[in-house]
Amino acid sequence: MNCDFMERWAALAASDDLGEHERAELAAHLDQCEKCRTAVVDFSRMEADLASLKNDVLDPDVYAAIRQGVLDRIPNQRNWHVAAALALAAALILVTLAIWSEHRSQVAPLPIQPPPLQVSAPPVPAIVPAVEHRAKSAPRRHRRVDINPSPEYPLVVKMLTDDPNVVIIWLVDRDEKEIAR
Amino acid sequence: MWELALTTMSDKVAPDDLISKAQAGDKSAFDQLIRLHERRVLATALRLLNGNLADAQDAAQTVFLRLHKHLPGVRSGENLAGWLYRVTVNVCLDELKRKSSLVPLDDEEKTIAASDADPETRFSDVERRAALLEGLNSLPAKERAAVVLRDIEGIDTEEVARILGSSPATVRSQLCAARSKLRVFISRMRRRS
Repeated sequence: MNCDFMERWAALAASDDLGEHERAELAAHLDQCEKCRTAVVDFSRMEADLASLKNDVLDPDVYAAIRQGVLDRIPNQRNWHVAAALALAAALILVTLAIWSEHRSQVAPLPIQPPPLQVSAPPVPAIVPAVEHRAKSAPRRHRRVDINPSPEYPLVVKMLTDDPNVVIIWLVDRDEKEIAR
Repeated sequence: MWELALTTMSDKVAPDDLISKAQAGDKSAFDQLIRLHERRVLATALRLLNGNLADAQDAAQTVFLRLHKHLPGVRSGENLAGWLYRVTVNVCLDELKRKSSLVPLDDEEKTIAASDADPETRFSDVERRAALLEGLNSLPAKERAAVVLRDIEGIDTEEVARILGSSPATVRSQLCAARSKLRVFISRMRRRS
């Protein structure tokens, strides 16, 4: 084998990273190659120099600063437990409230039946649809109902919506037949 | 994940009671745990981060904060040193990527002019050491990590492979390439001096 290949083995020989067979081949090559023997010496010295770096001693203040920096950023264990317990209690209260609210709405549904709109011949008092009986969550689309009870004119039912530009008007005669819409 | 060989690392395993106390929230025990491992973490970070002490200190703090976060998962008899080496290498490689501070050896070589100085000029220990550190800093990150763990920290090749998440063959290849580059680097520095 050539020297380039053997130099790779020489690099590994210094740290005892060669197998038996490789080591034997390298030894045989070194017997006849001055250049590779020099390489082995260089690698061995380099290994020793690198290993000596482990003995470098740093200023104790450097380590102290690291420890202090770490310990300062670690949350206090007791406070953490308290915070976790409080968070758990709050979560339990919220869940209990949610279940109670759900249960209440199922047990007592609103038995609201809006009374039928009865519009007949005058004099009939204006009957306002049961707007108040709507569920609170439902959007309130009709705000007011105006009824014209005059006997000379058809009964007019005007409904105002949330949109001021939209007005729904029913014209109803005395027989309650729809005239126009 | 924690199953690293204990045979060569028996002196590096933290006492179980110290870990138990730290797991229970004892800050003093965790402080002792840091003291037990701080040298290897800081020294490794220092070599991997081009000898920049401030960066190495930051990296070491990050490593120990991660240790604190992972304390609940540490079990009795597990190899904490191996885990710390792995986290240290990862933190440092991330930092190097972030800074894009890698200087390939080829580029570094361009800055070292060929010299006609006598090769036999005495190359002092101090100079050789300086050249070694400079050469180390010029290596690609993974080759540098292999050299730091194998040659400086003295961890065996199989365990280095586990720490780096590669195979022993890959580590040998990285070691071989890194040592050859270092030898060339030091040789040039010697001629230059």
